[in-house]
Amino acid sequence: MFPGIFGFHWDIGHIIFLGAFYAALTTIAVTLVRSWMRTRNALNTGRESSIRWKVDFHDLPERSRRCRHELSGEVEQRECPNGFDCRVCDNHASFAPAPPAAAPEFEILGITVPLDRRYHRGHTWVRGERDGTFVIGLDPLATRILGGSAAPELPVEGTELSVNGSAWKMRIGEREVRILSPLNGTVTAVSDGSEGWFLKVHPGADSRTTHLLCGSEIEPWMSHEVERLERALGGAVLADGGTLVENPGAGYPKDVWTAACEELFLHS
Amino acid sequence: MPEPLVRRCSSSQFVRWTLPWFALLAFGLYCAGLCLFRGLNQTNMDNRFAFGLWIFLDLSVIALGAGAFLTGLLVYILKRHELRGVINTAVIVGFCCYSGAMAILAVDVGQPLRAWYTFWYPNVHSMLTEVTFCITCYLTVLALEYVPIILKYRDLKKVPSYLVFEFQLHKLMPVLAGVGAFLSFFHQGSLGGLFGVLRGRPFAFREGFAIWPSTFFLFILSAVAAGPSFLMLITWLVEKISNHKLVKREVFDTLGRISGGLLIVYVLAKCVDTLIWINNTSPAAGFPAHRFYTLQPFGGWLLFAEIVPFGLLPALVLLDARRRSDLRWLLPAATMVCLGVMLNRFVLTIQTLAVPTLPFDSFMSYSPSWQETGTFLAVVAYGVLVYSYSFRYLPLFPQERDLQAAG
Repeated sequence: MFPGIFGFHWDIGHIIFLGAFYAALTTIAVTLVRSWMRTRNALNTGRESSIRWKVDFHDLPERSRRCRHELSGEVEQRECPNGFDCRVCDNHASFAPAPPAAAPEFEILGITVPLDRRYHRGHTWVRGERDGTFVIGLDPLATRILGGSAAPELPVEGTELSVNGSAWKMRIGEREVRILSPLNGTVTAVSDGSEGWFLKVHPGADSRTTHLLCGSEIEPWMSHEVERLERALGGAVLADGGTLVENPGAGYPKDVWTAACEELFLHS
Repeated sequence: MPEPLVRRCSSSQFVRWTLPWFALLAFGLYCAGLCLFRGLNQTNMDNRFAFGLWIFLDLSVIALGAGAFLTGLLVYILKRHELRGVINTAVIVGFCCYSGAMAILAVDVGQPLRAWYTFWYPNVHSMLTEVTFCITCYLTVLALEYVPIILKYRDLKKVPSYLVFEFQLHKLMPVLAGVGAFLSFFHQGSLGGLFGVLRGRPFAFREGFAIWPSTFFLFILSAVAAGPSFLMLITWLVEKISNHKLVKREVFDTLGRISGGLLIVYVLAKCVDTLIWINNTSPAAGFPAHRFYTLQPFGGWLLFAEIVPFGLLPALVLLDARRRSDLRWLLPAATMVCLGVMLNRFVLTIQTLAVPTLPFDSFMSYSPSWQETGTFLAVVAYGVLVYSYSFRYLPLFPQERDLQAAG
């Protein structure tokens, strides 16, 4: 097989055949080594969080990747190509800014949703404080779904957050739900949620919030989320309106509930 | 038991489904063990009938598994994104077909401890050496393509290094798809070329282009035509068994169109090749072609069946958009395509060896022993089990969640 081995000759047949074979083998080996090196590099430079989001977003069902401008009725059909990060979207600026909401809050399935703040697609809200920091909390739909018994597992102060990376976790018994960060920044304070918020964040270098939903966009988005939840649960629960009970997952098989939570909180 | 990613049957139902397959696998492994430890006297093959059931089915599953490289080529290099819905299934079906074929070959060739000889002391003048090299490399490619699918499993995704490795490997998938297509073209072709170069077997011997006989190209064409049809049939079968809609109907339509287009080219090439063989190659070797078909049961009907009902007719159905949109036409046509390619492999493997080539030779018949049959059934069981576990625990169909929610 190699020069020097019995049967090998420097003829055209050996050279072409073995050359092609080794070229294919080398390409396969280089691909594998390159993947491994890139993996090591990404882990060493702390890019795991952004990669996790890219993988999760790519694997989400199509209906979970709809553009905010489709939900608000500005375009008929559009799938988000940017992982819900409108800051890097070429088209976002061409749409008119969402007008302010007509009322300070609205109600859906017995849940009151305040409109004085911005919302992230992963069901967190963000409110700017006078001291330049932002507080982050779970939106009312997520709070109702996870229920009062959900315990937060919060990051320590000083933790760096990145948009769509992990912010904190909510634990319900054995189950765990990862909550996505709506902002870049550094955690300056944490709370158990009793005051309505979980994290206080000092914004990072890029403190833009254009990727967060605001004003009149929030109500159609929340309706879409309720519809997604309904579909993920099999359809029958919320179809007749009424009030969404706290921690509705208790009545569902584990796999159905896990799948619904993953879909709503944008994990794949 | 671990939890499935999408809604699947209960654990007890799944165990009931897998038990018979495990039983079949165990029986097949016993048969393979007999062949390995006691030798090929356990089979009905002999010096004259050196290729039997195993080689026929090896050639068939390798042709049917061609959907893997073709779909990879279409999705990752030619950017036909509509086929993303079946790419994972294509990889797993391809992996099962190729690894199963290699397992059977290991039993057939025997002496597995000396398997490395084929790489260390290759005969570069043999088509089989090319086949061995390409299939080994391509199975490695398929295994690497399978790895990201396995790493999508929920518990594995939680491990950061696995998640990032899966992401990085997936980004380099076009490279693997390209290498896979290169290797597949050559080994599919070489498997056909293997028969075309048999000068002592005028039934199979063909003229060709440079060092490649025409069967080299016909094997490639027939495999790429059958691959998408087989992929469609597997997907449909899984939909029926699991009672879940897994892909959009447009995917079936695209696979049918590709299969039909490639099949019509194959049928035309096959007709030209057959005419040249009848009028030129076979008489030049001293055998009027019609004599090969006077030996029953391999009459002229077999050639007709291969070209018309299992070639031309399904190709016309698959090329007709109206009929293709109707599953009652589409699925039987896809089945005919797959059966057609199997018939072609049967003719080249079994009929070629059965036809006498010397005046004192007689027509030979062969039927496989239960050990041969059992060994092959183990490969079928292995394929079903690998696919079943993958289907249950891995996200094979990206469109499934949308389709389930839409009801």
